[in-house]
Amino acid sequence: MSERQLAMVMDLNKCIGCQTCTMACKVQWTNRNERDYMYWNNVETVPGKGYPRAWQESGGGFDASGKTLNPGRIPSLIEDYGVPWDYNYEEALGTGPGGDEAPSQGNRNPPLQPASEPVWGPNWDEDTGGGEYPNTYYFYLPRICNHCTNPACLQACPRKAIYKRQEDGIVLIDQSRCRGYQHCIAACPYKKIYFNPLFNRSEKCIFCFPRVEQGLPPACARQCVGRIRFVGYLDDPDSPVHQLVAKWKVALPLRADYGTQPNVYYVPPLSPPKSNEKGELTAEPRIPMELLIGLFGPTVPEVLETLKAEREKKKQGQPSELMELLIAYRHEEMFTLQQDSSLARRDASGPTPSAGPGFNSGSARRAVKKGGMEDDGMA
Amino acid sequence: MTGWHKMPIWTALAWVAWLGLSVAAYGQESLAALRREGEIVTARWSTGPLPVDARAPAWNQAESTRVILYPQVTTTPKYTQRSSLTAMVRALYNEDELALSIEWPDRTPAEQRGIGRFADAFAIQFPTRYGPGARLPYVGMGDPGSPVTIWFWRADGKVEMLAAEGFGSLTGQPSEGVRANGLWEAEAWRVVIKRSLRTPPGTYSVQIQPARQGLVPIALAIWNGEENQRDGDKLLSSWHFLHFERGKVDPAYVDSLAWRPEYQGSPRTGMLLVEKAGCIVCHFFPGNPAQKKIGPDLTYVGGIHRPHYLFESLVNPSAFIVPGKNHFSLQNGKMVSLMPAVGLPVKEIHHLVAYLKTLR
Repeated sequence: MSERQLAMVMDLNKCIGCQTCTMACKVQWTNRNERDYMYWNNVETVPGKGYPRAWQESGGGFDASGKTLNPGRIPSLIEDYGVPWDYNYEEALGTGPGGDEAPSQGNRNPPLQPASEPVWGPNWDEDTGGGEYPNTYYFYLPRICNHCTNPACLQACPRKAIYKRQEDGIVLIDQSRCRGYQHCIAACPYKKIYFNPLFNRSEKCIFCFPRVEQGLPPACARQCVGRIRFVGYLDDPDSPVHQLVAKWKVALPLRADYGTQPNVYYVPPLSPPKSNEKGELTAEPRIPMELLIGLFGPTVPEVLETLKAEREKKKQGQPSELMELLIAYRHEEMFTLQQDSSLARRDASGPTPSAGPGFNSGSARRAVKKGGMEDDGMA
Repeated sequence: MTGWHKMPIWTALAWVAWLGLSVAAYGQESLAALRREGEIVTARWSTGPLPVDARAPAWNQAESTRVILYPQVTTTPKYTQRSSLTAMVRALYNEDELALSIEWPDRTPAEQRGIGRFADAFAIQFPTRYGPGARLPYVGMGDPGSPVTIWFWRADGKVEMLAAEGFGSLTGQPSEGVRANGLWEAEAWRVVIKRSLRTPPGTYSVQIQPARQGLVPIALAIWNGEENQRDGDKLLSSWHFLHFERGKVDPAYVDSLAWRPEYQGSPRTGMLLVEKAGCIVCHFFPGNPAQKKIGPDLTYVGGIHRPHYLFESLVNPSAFIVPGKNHFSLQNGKMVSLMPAVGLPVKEIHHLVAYLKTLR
């Protein structure tokens, strides 16, 4: 366990599945040097097999004791990750050698299609969903490395190449120690470690630590157009992360039953009511509760009740601290990344302003953040 | 090493034997003993450049030695199948270089590495320091204070110089011109690995100078990529000794390495003693009904460890404690083995050693 822990909260009620986070991550980290197949950040549709395919059935994590690793498998490039394919542009569009000839009637260019037959890929089962019409349902689940408090990858590495930073709990792979044995890939129950065949080493989401060290949130969070991602230290009472996880308890870890104590939290999704044969709305939500409980644990029903109640307040024109938080009127207020201890800051500035509609009244903090944003090229 | 084997009776016996033969120089008997045990790999003197090609006719000059490799079961990850492997080892040297040829059966070559794919590999391990007075490092990756130097070849073309002093400590080193070449043919790998003998000294670099010390400990490891072997999931040999035929063999050194016990232990008697000695309480080994896993797994202990090591482990378990296994308690800041010394007469200890040697 690290001294402090950076965490991310993702509000699944706001995710629109646009993959901007995925692209933000990809262009920053994984679009070169044989990392094409890797998605340190991916957004998958639930229900679905996800990416890599069937990661939830791939083993890893810990047994009930939380100490002994469960066996796990290494996903296959073709069947589970999906080979990043190219298209037959030259053939189909006639841009290859001899392609200058104008298309004529006899021109039989093949249709534009993948040059090799893909069988899986990230987002392969997008929007497939579940349920019977008219009660079909799905929601989006963005996933990054959970920077676990009890990382299975770290325990699985015989070389101690994986470490957890004291100052923020970010889990990293020491590239000079890694020898590409891939035990970590099998051990991670979220399958968020990837093997780089070019460098013969394992790689993973680094929580954009070079950005974090500059006071900037990870690229996936900063670029999120739906403003679903909060980033902050779990022990910082001023952080929306702390408030959503510890105070309101509406943000829940994904598959905590794997025993790794993940540090990415999700506000579970509400869903419209089911309709019966007569087309009347019922009290039952479309997304089955068992599905959500399976992913986010037994407190999902209470959390959804809280969300509904607070949403209702807001609807009635009453203030709701929780809704103010989740709406995130100002994007930068979703991120509290200053590294000085919150306790030290509180000592210096007196009592912390209580959370509420004015939860963002920490003006000094905002100034720091604002500077950070400007460095980021944001207006 | 402890001084148990320097007991007067042993010295006397050796002296008698020496007188009896009257031809052998001091140390020759010990060398012969090592040879009888199959622990000597002879490095033939060769004029001209040494081949890096496994098919080169020059290899016909060198005699072939069988070295058996056993599953690594001491640390995790371990080899999970019950099979040993026989490699044929040949060595050539000249003034400038040492070259080894290693051949082992492998039905399917695994030459690519990738996501969940692993390549065949071979490694040869040397104690970074050896010679009179130097304890042989723990055969599995050395131990703190007794590092090992490793030349590593992998079927995807990777060749490395590495060093380690205990499990998990393997670290890349400057290559020092280690070259290797693998050839898969007729369901077998033939790997040639060679290095200059004129390398500058370094903390983790083995110095091989046959003119100064013609007996160099080596141990081998082989990984089968087809079975996803990598890391500790491998087969390994016990310490063997590369004998440079024109090298100078230090008699004291070779005497310290040869196993010439004062009693010839009987494996059968030893097997009957494992209960009396208490081994069965903590150790796993075939035939032990208790199947305990408190202490190290002894399944291949006779294949991987030399009798000196086994003897010492029985009479003085704290003399060497396998690193990283937590088989010890701290007493006044000193590591004390969890295993009590076996309080049996020396003769019975020899029976036990003889039995343990059959566990392979």
